[in-house]
Amino acid sequence: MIKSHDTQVERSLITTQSIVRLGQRIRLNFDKTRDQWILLGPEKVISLDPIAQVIISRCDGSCSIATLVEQLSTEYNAHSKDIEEDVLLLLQDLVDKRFMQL
Amino acid sequence: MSMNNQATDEVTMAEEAKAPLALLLELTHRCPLQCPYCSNPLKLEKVASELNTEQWMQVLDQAAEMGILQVHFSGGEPALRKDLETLVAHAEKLGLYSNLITSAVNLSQTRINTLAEIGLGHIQVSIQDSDEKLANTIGGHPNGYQLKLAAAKHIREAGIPLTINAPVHRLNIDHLEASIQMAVDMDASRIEVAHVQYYGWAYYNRKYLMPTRKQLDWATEVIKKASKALKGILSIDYVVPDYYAKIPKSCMSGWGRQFLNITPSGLVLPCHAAESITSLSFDSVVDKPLNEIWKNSEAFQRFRGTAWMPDTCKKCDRREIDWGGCRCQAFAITGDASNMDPACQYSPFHQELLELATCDANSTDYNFTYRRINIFNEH
Ligand code: SF4
Repeated sequence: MIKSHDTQVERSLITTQSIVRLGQRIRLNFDKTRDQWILLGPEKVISLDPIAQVIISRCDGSCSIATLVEQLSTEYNAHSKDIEEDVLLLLQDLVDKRFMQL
Repeated sequence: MSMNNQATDEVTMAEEAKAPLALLLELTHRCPLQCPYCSNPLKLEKVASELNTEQWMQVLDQAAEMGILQVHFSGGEPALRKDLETLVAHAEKLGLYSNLITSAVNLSQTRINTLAEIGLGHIQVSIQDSDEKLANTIGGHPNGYQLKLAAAKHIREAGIPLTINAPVHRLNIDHLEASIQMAVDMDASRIEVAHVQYYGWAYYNRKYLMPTRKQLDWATEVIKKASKALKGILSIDYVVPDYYAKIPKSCMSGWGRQFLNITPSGLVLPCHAAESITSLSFDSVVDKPLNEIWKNSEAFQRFRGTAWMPDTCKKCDRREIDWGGCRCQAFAITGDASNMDPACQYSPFHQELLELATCDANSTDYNFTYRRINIFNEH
């Protein structure tokens, strides 16, 4: 059975207190040809809907997810609980893919 | 494409080319390793025919112009080109995401640091096995294993994300767990466990490489467990072996849909193995603009979309999922590239493919032929 390496790495689980930023050498770009925002990484291109783009572009290492959720719920006039759920889901998935990191 | 009243499951119109996503440059066919499953053609291109720095830079300019997002620098061994840094820098300047696909045995720490500074996005290092002795035997390099370990360390120290590419076959598949652990220890973020695909050298050496059904089933279980245990630590991409499959893989995400490959001398191919289809001819970037070749060349148009498909595929729900599978495999096994991939259970050649696999897997001969540049070049 494969064990994860003790000292080197383990899965990063995010919480509302986490500060998340782009993964190593991952790029958030606007793709002019296809008219959409994308995350560019190793062997993968992830296309982003407008809301994902907003979330990711604000994950610049300056604020916690809780702060981000608060901002978004004011700006979009939505329940912070709903937003929090979506944001955590999106970011955990991207952290697991190493497209984002803590 | 909207005005016809025809049943929608009878799509017969030739498809127009969309902008491709990725471009793979085989900068050279020279290589310090000699893996017997190399995906390059048997007839390797020689150094004298390689495009020069300026020609490759023009290719990159055209790629960016076409809307290509990712460029893979590959080979042979791309690090044998002294202008690798120049080309990566040029790609980065154009906003292309650059990836280096390398054996890493001649990638010094100095070069890795330079590539990191230039902005190289990612490096993919191949491993032959987790056991040093077997790894060096398969790669045909006396010290390949240790050199790769050293390079991987330097790559991670320089802050470049690392993928391990681990081709598996009968000789090394039983070490799969250790190979995955090796990728974790090398601090890779991703591993590609790829069953050898039987084109080029691998087709030639098939009877030494084909795994048994039992090995395959065990490996599939290992991958399942490891993917779960290593979630968030190591992403595992798994390429299943065609010969035991029921449905074909979506080869290249469809012919001429997302991907192009350029050989050292500048031939533009819809996939790296396309030259094995001897009934096709290919255009070169030396003679024509890349975009023109992508959009209009005979080789790309021939199997783009669904119009070329046999009736069984045209009526099948998966026609725009697997695009009829692999053209090269259809040609290699059935002699006609416009047949459906024999990996498909509906192919009249499906049973034959399975029998080939079963027969090869029982061979106990280990006398494979190493990939070397002059073996198939003599006239
Ligand atoms: S019939 Fe054609 S489209 Fe359908 S699964 Fe087989 S190869 Fe794919």
